[in-house]
Amino acid sequence: MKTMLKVQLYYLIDQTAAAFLGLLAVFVAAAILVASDAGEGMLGLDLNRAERAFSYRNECLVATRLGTVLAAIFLGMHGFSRAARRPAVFFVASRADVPRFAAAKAVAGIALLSAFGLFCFSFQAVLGAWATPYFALARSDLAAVFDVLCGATFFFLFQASLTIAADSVFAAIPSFTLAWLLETESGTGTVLADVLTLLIRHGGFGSGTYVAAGDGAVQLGTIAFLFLLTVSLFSARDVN
Amino acid sequence: MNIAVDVRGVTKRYRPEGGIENVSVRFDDSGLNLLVGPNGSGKSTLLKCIVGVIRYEGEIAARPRSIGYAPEEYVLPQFMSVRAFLTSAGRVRDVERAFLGDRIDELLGYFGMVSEAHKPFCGLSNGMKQKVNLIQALLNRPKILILDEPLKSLDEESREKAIAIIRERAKECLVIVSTHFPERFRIRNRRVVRLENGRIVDENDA
Repeated sequence: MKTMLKVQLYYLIDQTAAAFLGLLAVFVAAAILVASDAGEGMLGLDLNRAERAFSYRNECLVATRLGTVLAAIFLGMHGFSRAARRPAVFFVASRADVPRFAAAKAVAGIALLSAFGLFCFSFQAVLGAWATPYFALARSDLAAVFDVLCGATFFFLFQASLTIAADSVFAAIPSFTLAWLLETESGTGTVLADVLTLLIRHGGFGSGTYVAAGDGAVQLGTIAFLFLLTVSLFSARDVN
Repeated sequence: MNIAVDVRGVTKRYRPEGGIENVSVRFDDSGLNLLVGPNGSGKSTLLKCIVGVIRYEGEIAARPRSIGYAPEEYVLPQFMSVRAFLTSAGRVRDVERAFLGDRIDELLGYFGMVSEAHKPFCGLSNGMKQKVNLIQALLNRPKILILDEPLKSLDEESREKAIAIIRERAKECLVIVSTHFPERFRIRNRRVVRLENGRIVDENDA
């Protein structure tokens, strides 16, 4: 399985993926830099520490979440397209091996996504600690990034399933729509917001503390279901 | 001779058209079998059915299951080195570690690719990639060797080497080759199976 994971990572990171993820990381880093107001200098940032820290955390969370969800949708499309399923011929001896190949691909995608999310979070933490007087890493920051990764994993597996099922570039539309609705509806208290946050991990720094909506067990169950769905759909398709 | 692959009434349809229709053919456990026919006649589809990477109607009995397969279309990881790729392919197919390194060296040497062993695929020509495609199929000395257009993208010298190794393997195991150039495979006791419109229209030993 270790060898298969290594191979899948190499297949996921081709020139297109490296360029897209690299550019996305630069955009997220720039957004975090702007959110920090680091240009004002230590003295200027010393006023209103609590408000600045709250604002910095919220803006970084949104930037990291948007970047990671975009990366998730991209990897779900790029990693599970028809062409991306072709390498299986080198690594399966029979159709019985296909589920193992698909599972390794999904795990490799989640690992890559986690690395991307952790890079964004590390940049936020290092910049906050080094260039501002108001930010100190808290446990709630770790909870926030964990939730961002859970949400992104949902979108990665959701997009992977859609890509395998539809084999079309338009398969990204439902994921983008869902991500947009989740971002705009969450916290509004509508039925749609409740349904979305029931299935997808999503939180925010409301009134100073980090709060995530929904039930973790249900959200974890949804991810497990999508993982199995992705593997099943991949295994049901021809490898050619 | 024993029957190594027995294809019985196999059908695979692609939309809007293409594939194979009710194909039945037997292959002995050694010798060279050439699949010929125009584009879209079903050669590649039949090979994929035998390898087992696509679903089909009908029945295919293959003994033994040790198959080496070089597809016509393939994707190689751009940033992985040739050697790392071949090592991974060998390990996934349970080739013994002690044997694997020597076998990779032997095949890279045979195809004149020793200096490319540590280069990533993004720096290789199509011909080099095709050689790696052939090498990965030969790694575990399979009992059944299935090659889809093996001469594609190769230069003249490499073609001769590929044909020579195919000839050598055909003495010991079953080799099935899909090709548009059957005249290049001047081997005694070869068998030519012609497909047209997804059906076998002619079989002869030449």
